[in-house]
Amino acid sequence: MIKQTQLVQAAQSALRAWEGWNGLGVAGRAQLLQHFVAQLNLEQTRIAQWQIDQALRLIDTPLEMQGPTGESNLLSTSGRGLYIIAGEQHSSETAIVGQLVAALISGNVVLLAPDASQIGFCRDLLRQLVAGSCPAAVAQLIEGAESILELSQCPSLAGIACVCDDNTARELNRQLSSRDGVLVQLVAETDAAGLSLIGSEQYLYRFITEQVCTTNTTAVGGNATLLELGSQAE
Amino acid sequence: MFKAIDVLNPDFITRPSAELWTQISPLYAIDENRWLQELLPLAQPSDAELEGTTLGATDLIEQVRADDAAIHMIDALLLEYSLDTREGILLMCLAEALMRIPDADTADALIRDKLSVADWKKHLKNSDSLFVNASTWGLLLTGKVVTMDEKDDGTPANVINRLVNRFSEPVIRKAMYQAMKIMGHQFVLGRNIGEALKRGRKSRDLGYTYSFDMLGEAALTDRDADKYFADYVRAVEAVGHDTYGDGKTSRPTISIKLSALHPRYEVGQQARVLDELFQRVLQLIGKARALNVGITIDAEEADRLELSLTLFEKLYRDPACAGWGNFGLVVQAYSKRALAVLTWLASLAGEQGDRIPVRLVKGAYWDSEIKLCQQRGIDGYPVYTRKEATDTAYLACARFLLSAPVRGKIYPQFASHNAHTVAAILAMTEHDDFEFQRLHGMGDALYNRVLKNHSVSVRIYAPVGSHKDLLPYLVRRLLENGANSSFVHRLVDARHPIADLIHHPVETLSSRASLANPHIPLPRDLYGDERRNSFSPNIEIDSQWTPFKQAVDGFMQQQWNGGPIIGGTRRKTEQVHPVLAPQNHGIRVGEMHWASTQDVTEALDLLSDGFFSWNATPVDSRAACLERLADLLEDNLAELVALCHLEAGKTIQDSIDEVREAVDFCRYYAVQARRGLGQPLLGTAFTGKDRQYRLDGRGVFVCISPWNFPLAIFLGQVSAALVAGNSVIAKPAEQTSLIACRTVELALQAGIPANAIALLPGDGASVGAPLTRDPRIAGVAFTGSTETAQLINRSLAQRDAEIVPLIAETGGQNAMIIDSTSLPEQVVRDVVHSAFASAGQRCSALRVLYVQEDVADRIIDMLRGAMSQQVVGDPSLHSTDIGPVIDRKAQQGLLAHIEKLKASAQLIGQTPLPPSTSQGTFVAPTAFLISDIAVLEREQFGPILHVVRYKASELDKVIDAINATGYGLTLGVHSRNEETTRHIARRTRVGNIYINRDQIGAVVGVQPFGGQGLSGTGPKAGGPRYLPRFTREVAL
Repeated sequence: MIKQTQLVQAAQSALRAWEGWNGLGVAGRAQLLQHFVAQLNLEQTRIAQWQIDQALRLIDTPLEMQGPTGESNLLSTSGRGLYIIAGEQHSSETAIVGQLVAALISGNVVLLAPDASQIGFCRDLLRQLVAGSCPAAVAQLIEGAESILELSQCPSLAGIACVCDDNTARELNRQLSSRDGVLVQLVAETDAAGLSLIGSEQYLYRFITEQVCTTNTTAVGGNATLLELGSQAE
Repeated sequence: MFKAIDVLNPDFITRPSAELWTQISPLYAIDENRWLQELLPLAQPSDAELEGTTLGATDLIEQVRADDAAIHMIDALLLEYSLDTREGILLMCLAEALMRIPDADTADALIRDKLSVADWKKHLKNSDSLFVNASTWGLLLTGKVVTMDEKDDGTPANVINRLVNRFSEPVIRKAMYQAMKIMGHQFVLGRNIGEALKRGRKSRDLGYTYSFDMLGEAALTDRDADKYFADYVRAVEAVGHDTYGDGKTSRPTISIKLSALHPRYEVGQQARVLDELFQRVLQLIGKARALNVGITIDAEEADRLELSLTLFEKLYRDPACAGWGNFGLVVQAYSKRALAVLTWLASLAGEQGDRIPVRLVKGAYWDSEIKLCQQRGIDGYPVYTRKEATDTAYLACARFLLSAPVRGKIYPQFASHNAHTVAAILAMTEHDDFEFQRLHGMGDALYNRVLKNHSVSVRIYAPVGSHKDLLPYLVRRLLENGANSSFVHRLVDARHPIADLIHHPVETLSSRASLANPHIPLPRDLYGDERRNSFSPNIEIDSQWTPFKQAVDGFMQQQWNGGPIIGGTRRKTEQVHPVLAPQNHGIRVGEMHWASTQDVTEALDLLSDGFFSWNATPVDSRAACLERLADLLEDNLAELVALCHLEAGKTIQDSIDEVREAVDFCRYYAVQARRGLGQPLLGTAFTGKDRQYRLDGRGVFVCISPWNFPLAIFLGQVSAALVAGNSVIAKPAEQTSLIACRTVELALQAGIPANAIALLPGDGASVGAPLTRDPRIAGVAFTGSTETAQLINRSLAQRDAEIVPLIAETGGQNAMIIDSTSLPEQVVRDVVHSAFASAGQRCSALRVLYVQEDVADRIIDMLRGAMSQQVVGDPSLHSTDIGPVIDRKAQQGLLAHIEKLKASAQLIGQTPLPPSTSQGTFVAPTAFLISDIAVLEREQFGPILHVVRYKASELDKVIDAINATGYGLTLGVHSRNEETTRHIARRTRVGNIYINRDQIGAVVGVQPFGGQGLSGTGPKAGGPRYLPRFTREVAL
């Protein structure tokens, strides 16, 4: 049985680290994760690097949205906050790595709550993260959970990413939906063998939130260069 | 139709002014290529004129270049800090803001912000001008910089950074204030009219005369308008009693800015303008005429031109003015209507038998005009898009003004700093019954030569007033019209061959492949070839407003009937609800039949089957349906606007914008769908192998939409779900189901199959709940309250079925943070719009305004004054700013909140409600001062603003407090300090941040919309990641 106080304390310390971690940007986080990735076995390295590459490709550079003159519109992404990453017995180490890296590279902080059989593996993972200069608080281990369902009452939760069967996923979803406050994202991989969700193109999008920053670039005055466009060679 | 060349026909201006008036408005956004083709012959010089112009311009430039003292004052500043350099812009930004900042910390931070990011070192000692060096830190700091330069690491900005860091900030600040004061001294002739008259004597001795102007921001309150009026009266009296230079040069005049004399100088408030402002200007005219001081009305934005002219005519025809001949106005040559305006003025003068002085300028709001039209989707621009086109139009207007039939009717006053334009006018004219005008501080050398060589009057347009008030305004005008600086550069820089400076604009323009600038797309082409921008008529322009209004009026008496639409057929049911207009419950709009339980079941059955064929329909066909729907919405704009007025209580522009947003959604999602849905896509799996997949529809999607955007959000959800391949059951808000019903009819007309879309109007209990607990539902898109989103989530979770996407856009507690660098007039305008437009019933609306303590009193005072000017009432009237709230329940909740706060908070102001509002559900816009955002328990979805004062040093606490609400939808920021705006944007967890503008009105595909935390799940509607959430990834 997991201790609620342990969960609350871990959540709080992770969230304190969130702003700094999120503020690093995808490229900054990718750099810090490199040491970690290098310590993994081949299959784990592949899924970790793939998630990082996906992030660099899909969410690293803010998108400049095309709009009227005199205005800049940048669409960027950030992490949603605190994710729990959990797995049942049949959750593979590859799946855990894929989920962990996806959550971290997107800008989230993580509580890792694996099945008891994978505690040692997860402890090693976190050690390597810290060795690669990732702040310890951004990914922490939660031990003692007998079931994924125990985790649903973790405070200030943005989402749970887990590997489980359909029934567990539904039950977890019911529990999460009974919470007040933020609609907690459930990113449940029910294909433990093929990891079809964790390996999908859309997977990272379940860990991000978007922001548009619109700036009136002519608040102090017009855009003196616009008229010059007419003088360009045609 | 108006033909440009006809204006040279002597009989043309003998036509009645009323007839010529009708020719003005249709030219508002006339096709630029076509119109310039007409103007070119007018501007075309004869051989003799061309020769005279070329020789004259060459001579002027040579003389200016030969004059060692040619470049000083503003010209010199622009020469060193050209506005096309980063340093030039940053210097102007500093000048625009620094002097109004009351607190040292914020001022120091702004100085750091502007000084640390550019290459200032390259300007050090460059300029010979005392003014330039003293106006910047060059002369002030050069010696110190040089001695500190030993450790220069090659990055020049660091020199200044080190300097700023090493010197105590008060020293730097003092130097900056001094620099700004000097700069203000150059831009502004005098801090009061007495000082201006005195300082102007030197120029009067040289043969110049003046037009003085108490320039500044537009008035937002009665108090500001009264202050400006008093300034003008004082100026008229002082100028009237000053006799210096009389007999040697023309008497000085006063220029007045109408928007400074009335807080609502807008087309929508025409009745007030033609009464209150008319009386006010008439008073000025009476005084000015008695003292023989001419008055000129300054030009403003294109939207107000017709209003200005209407007021001008009324004043001009008044006995107080008739026969005087010294009441004039400014005409902007960059306006496509300029020539028609001039002919109308000439006819008016002919009818009254006296003359009208007309200052012909090129125009000072060019960039804003382009931006506004692009934002509003207007059908063209009111201004030309090439500089040489404006120059050509200027000369075309000049030819008309100098023509014999116009002489004596219009007294032309040519304002330009371009040597070629001056020479062209001198070559063109056959008489000397005109004058030139230049801006104080600009073009001195040029006009000194003109005065010396020609028998012609030159008047200096001179701003008068406190530097703190005027500098921001003047800097913005200068930046807006920045092309001036390039001429100054080329004029004095001997490396530029004179031949390059004396191209006739007609020749330059004619040499272009296209007369219109191809690099500036028309508003409809803003998004390139991919999709057309949605269209809006400009309701400020008579030729667009009148036919649009007539079309809308044709639907204002109509009754609409709505009901469930299943299988393409609208049904009648037992549950019939009358629909009443929220602004007047005596107006019955129609009736709505609510869906029964049986309807819900039938729709689910039909659409579950229909999904397969619709999902199998090629994505291009699905997208084409959306594009046809977009066109149909535009074709039916008038009816939909009438429905928005009557069923949703929306104002005119809100109603148009509602339709536009829906149109944009359809076109944007069509493009996005073609890019990535329903077709094989290639990716690399994490195993390194290639993988093929496709994004398909998920099944039956339920779309539950709110009443506040009954068309835009309704169709935004529906169109996204549909184009992704889903069949869609739409449940609109109970309050606005008629609009939804009409929209679904149009969707069917556009080709959406009858088994792919169904409409189920009704309440949450009888329609929403059975839908969301049905196991066949493959996803839900919802916009509404956070509480309802949670209910839907629970309902979906209870199903013994696949976990499906819930895309929820929910509430907010939206804040705006303003610091002391911001411009109060911009802030208050944006605050009023953000908080009260649409009666505050926007998800994005401003609820909590954080004002830095140091400027809070002034801002709050101005806010109170501006709120008192708002008009609450019938939303179908152009004069109405704020319409009703949606229903009695909403009204009572908001009124209860107001009553509660009246007891516990400080009331700042409340807009008065006219008696007619008792017919409907109105809430007076109200603002309260509160201590903290935390005292607000929940969002108040209406026109209620809460204001919190904060200390500059506590900005991070403000951000923490906003984050602590858990909501994160929109945030406004007003600050000139870019580091501050970056810091706020980086730390605040909100979906949409708006810097130095209002915070409502997100545009599809430009500002994808949606919040974080309690405000929504994402992805953002109208953004590139929205559609995939409606799909399922299918491996191939």
